[in-house]
Amino acid sequence: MGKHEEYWNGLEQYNADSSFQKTQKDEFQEDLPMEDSLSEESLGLKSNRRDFLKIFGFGLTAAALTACVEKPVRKAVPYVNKPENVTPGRAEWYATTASIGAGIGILVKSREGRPIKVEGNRMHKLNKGGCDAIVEASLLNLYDSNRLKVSRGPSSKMMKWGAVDNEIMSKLESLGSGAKILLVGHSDSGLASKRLVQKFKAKYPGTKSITYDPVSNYALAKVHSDGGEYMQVPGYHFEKAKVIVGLDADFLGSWISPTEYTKGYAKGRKVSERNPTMSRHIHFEPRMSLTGSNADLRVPMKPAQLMAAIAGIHEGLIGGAITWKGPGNAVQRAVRELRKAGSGNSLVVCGVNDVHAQTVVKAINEILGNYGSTIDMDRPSYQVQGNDEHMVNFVAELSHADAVIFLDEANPVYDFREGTEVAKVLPKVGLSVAFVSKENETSKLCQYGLAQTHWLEEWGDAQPRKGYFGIRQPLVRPLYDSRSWQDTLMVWSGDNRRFYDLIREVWENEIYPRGAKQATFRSFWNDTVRDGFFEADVHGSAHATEGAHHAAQVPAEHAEDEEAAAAPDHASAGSPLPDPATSRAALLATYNKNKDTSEFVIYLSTTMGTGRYANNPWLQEYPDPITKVTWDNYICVPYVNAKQEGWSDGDIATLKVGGKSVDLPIIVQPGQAANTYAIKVGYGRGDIAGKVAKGVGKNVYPMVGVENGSFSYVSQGASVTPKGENIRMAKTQTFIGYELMSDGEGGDGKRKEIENRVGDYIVKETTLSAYRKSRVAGNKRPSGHHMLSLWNIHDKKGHHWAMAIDLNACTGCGSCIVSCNVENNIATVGREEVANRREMHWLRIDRYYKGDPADQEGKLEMVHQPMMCQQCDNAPCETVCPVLATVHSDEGLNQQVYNRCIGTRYCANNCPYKVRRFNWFSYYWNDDFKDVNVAQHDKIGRLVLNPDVTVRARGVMEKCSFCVQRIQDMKLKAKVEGRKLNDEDMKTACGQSCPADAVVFGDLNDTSSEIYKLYHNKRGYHALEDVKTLPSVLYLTKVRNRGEDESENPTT
Amino acid sequence: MGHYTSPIRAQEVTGGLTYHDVTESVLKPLESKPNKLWLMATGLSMVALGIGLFCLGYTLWVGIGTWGLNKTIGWAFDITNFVFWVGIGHAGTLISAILLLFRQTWRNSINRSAEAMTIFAVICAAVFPVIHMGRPWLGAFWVLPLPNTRGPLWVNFNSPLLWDVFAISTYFSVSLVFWYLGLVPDFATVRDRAKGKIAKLAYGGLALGWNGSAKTWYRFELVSLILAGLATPLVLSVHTIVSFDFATSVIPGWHTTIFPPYFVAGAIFSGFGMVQTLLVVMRKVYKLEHMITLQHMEAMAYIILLTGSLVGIAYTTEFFIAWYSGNHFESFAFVNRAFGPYWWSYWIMMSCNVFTPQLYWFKKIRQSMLATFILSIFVNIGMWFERFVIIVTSLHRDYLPSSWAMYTPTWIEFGILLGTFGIFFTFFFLFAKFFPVVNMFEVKTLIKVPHSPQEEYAEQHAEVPIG
Repeated sequence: MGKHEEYWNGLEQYNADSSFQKTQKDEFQEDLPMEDSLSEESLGLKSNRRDFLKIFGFGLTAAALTACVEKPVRKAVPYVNKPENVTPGRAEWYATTASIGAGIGILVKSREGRPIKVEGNRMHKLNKGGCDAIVEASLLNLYDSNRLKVSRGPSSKMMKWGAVDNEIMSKLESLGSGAKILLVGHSDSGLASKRLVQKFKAKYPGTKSITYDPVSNYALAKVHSDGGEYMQVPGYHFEKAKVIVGLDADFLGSWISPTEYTKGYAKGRKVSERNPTMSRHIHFEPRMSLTGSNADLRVPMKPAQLMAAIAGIHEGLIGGAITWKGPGNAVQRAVRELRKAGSGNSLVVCGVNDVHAQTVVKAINEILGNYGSTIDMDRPSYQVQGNDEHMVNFVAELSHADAVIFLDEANPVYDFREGTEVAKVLPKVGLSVAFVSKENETSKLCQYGLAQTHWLEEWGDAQPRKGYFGIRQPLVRPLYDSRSWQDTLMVWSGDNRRFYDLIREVWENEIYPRGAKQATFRSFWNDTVRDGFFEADVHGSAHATEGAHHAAQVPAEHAEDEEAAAAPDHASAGSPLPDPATSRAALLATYNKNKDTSEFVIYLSTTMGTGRYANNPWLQEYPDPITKVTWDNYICVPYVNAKQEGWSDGDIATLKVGGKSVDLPIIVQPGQAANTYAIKVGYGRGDIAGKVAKGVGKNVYPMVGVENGSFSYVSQGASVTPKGENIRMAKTQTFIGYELMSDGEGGDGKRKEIENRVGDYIVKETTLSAYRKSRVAGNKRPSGHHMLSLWNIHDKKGHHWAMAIDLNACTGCGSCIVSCNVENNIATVGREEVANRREMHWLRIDRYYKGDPADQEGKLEMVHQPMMCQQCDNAPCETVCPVLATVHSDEGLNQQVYNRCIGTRYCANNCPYKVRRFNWFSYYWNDDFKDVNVAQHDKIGRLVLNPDVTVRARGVMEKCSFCVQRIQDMKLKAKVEGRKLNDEDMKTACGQSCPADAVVFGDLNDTSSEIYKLYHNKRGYHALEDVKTLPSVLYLTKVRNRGEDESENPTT
Repeated sequence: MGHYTSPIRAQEVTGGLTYHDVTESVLKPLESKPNKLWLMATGLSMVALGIGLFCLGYTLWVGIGTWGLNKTIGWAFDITNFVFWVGIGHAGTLISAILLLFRQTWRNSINRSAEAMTIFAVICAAVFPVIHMGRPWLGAFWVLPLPNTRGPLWVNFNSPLLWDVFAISTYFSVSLVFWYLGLVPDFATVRDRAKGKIAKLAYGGLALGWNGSAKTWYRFELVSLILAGLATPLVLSVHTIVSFDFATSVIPGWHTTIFPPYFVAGAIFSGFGMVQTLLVVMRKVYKLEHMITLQHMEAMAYIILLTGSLVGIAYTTEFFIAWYSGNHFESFAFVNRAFGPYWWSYWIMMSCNVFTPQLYWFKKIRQSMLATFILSIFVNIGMWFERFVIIVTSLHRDYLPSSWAMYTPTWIEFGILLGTFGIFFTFFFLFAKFFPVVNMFEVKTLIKVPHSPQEEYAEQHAEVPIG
């Protein structure tokens, strides 16, 4: 607005006053004060002294405060030279073979160089991916802090290997060439080990090798051995048998090669919808075993009756009159069904270690034409090498020996019947050496306790079945200054090579020529080490060459040493075999003699085995599949006797038999033959075995007898006398044992009510003939109007993880429990806490009885049901958590967020399946649990932990996650490889280890998956479906093969 | 003529007490030195409190494993005690709020103690939801919907436990405010009479400058009514929500639609039981028989009789429905309650809650303070066992028989239970010593004055003629 406009409003304008002009200009237009605040001046750091002091003061205080917190120093040391194939954070898998557990093929998961999980090798023909619990758990023994860290010489002197070699070799040499040296070991099917022993013998011709098994199957081997290099027992094809008759053979639980047999058995038991057939399993046994619990018809028989039954089957099959027909004509029925099965379609197995019994059973199988079909003598098993006859005079022999060497933890002071005598004689032997991974009862009395490697630290081989070769490769360098007995024997034999070189030599000369496809031995070796398995030809000249080689290599042995010639290492010698008729007469004589006396049975358990690994909390806390007891052995007392006498679980009693006695708690067992008592071996190791095994159970090996030149696990005239004390047993399942069935609580009516609950809502079952008529037999599912819901179903667009469990295949062995423990870093809590019902197992096997517990006629049945988080789509736990610590994933998983959990336990209360586990205490690094939770306490023990799974803190809830870390791993793997996830990838830890392939896991949204097919199987149902939790675990009904007689069903 | 005339309610303050008498007798213990009895009782309560604190500390140090819980039974003493104490708290609110709204003037002499009891009981109750958590140091604030920087972490509004948090905290704060508000005029009386400097200062502070003007009284009455209106729904809602902890679950024996009314009836029942227990003793020791008369005790006995019968009906209904529904799990759970391994707890509950209160039909029993005392203790025992029965017997045998277990409490749990009684009685005795235990100004409104203050004044100044 310039001066002298036409019109002016006032003098100020007229005069063009500067202040007026300014206001005039800004009258209606005001700039936002942005410019001011965005000016350089205010944006720039412009602090005065005061601000500086404030910030400085704050910084100083903050730094001082943070410094108050003690930060643990954690060192991450990088590899200087990165080992080949090791990528931090990525697991590597290697094939190997366990030196225990029947020589099954193993895959070991290794993280940053340490083995953290043992699984079955799917390429191994023996176990085909299955794995047994003891082998899986033995991983922890690698990290056992009680291990011998360095060899021990006389008067507790710590010795380096060089000194050991010098001392012992000079002693051996000073004994002279004719010195009598005893090599005492357990069954070892490895060919290279065999050659090694021969090598040793060549150097010390006076050597006698003694092989024994604490729980022996010598009689079976004796009747089947052909005088060859190995003792042999038949290879069994349970999958081919239409009728299986088990005679006290716990072939699914503990007998010879349970993983292998379970594979076959389960295959024969699985019922397909198209072709509903399955094998029929009849079982006679004194106590309820895992195998008996799976039988279609299981009749309890005391050992004497069992003898008569074996004789009776033979009598029946040869067309004679059956002397003892058994309860409800059970023997007669077995004969009838065996006959009906047709030639070569049945299988009779007998676990009685008695030559007469085995002779008759062999004759039975011959009559039935089973040799060549269900019984494979082309590939016999070499798993049983223990020769009882070697042991009969062991004490006398030992007292005359110049030296004794105990190989591979052989521990006769503990696990031999005359252990106390051995203990007396042993200190007098001139030179005594024991190879042990940690001191045991025997090594304690030896001059030398040599630190032996764990099987994961050494080279070795195995030949569990003829021509099935496995290689054991080390997964980790020995943690301590230990060396395998084989490597040591190499040195003592004067061979400067390692045992590894001998293995290669033996394999190149003796195994490679037998049908290897590879052009060179080198590639054959590499492939075999990678696969862990090689199947050699058994036909043709193989056997001959082997024999020839044997003869060629050790010709001196027989010539030079008369004693060795008289009693060579294997079974061909010994007393001559009786003929079936004589044996049958002997069996009947035994029956007549013992039928009215009370009998005592010693048995091998699925959970603890022979007791070698007693210092392993995973095994101690692995509940017995039948009694569900952990951390103890006990006297199994028949329900009928207990009821008569008024005994109950946990009553401490003295069992007396044959002048020996033992005090143990009683466990009352339904389905056990009257007047029969049973105790399992493997316990009572004493303080020497380590902090875990200390004080657990009692040793019953001293009560083993000898009969007809073999160990007898049955004795007569047992008495049980309660001492008036009662202790709490650490059982993982207490009810629906006999308690509820007894009159004490509701009586028979109550029992029926519970049976109906189990049958209607929990474990559904049907019979084969009903299933043939209708595919939905026994599987009544709730109708639609019962299944309305207030909730929206979760959307699962990507994957929908689900599991199916075939109850017809599951035997209840519980190998999955241990597998789950190892995979998921599950705390072991010890006897007291299990007794408090606070075991932490994410996966358990529920077992339910059906029928009268007092039954003696085969009308008591059992079902096993694996139970873990059902990953419900309508999860009751999810709605009640106040802080959303358990939430649903969009892949159908019910996720537990440990960090968020505050431990109200509402979720666990509201879980109909009771699968959630609460951390009642801090289980890790807690001295209260140092003797039981070694995997989360010891510096060494902690190495076993799976780094992919959090170790849970005190006060949080945990549960099965469907092995979410494995899912994630496989997803990433597929992503890296740029492919879709395939069905094969997905195995949870439980499913992986299952020897019965009962557990299938996969993606329901993938219509080609196995799980998708199973979800459309008409046998499928969910547990407690009426509650409408919509579980992601499907069970397939159990089908029982009633055979010819439907009335066998105890509920009808 | 036909129309019904209700009988005139007996006089609510007997003995011809004057205003001054009321003030004197209520404030006597407050203004005199503590006697031996009080010191002993308070000392004993503090010992109990100490034991409780030790057990609590041990639990916090070692873990919930020090209790007898297991994989199947995740709650037992903890939540039983919680529900028990919340239940006890109910009588206070019922008396102060609902009876105020209904103009039941007989409440005037008992409301103060009943409200105090509520506050202390809710404090005891509030202990358990916190300490039963595995990680209370986190849980205590993670259950609050606090804005945070932890991404999408938030509370679960589906969870009845979260509703509990709101219900209990609301209940506690409303009860506290209501109680304190009622105390203000009485604090002013104490202030005015106080001799000591500290007492003057303390009660002066507590009296919030009460000046007794008509305006103050008017506002006071208004706020009281508003708070009563707010508190009334709480009487029903708090225990309803507590019952949802069970009712919304899937466990047979918990999953029951009858729970809300049944829990509320039970809560009032147990609350009055506790009020009776306390007042029988207090009226005797503090010689307040003229203010807390037999008529009061009888009125409470009627309520106990009514609510006891209501819970009795609820117990029966549960059984009927269990049978009528035809649901296997449901019927099993209830038969197991009465005849299973914990049958004794069920029958203790039935006897104490349903059978013995029936004795209140007899006037003699209602008027015998000894009988009342014993019966009211029975009510407390019975109601504790009711919660125990609901929680433990339902859990110990739920769906899968494989998981069935038994529960045995440890001495730590008993110690904590004892400790809450310690908290309760320590607070109560402190209250009884330092606070006016009877609402003086409300009692004074009940006195049918033979001579009004004016008359009294006139008598003293005889030269002024009376109109």
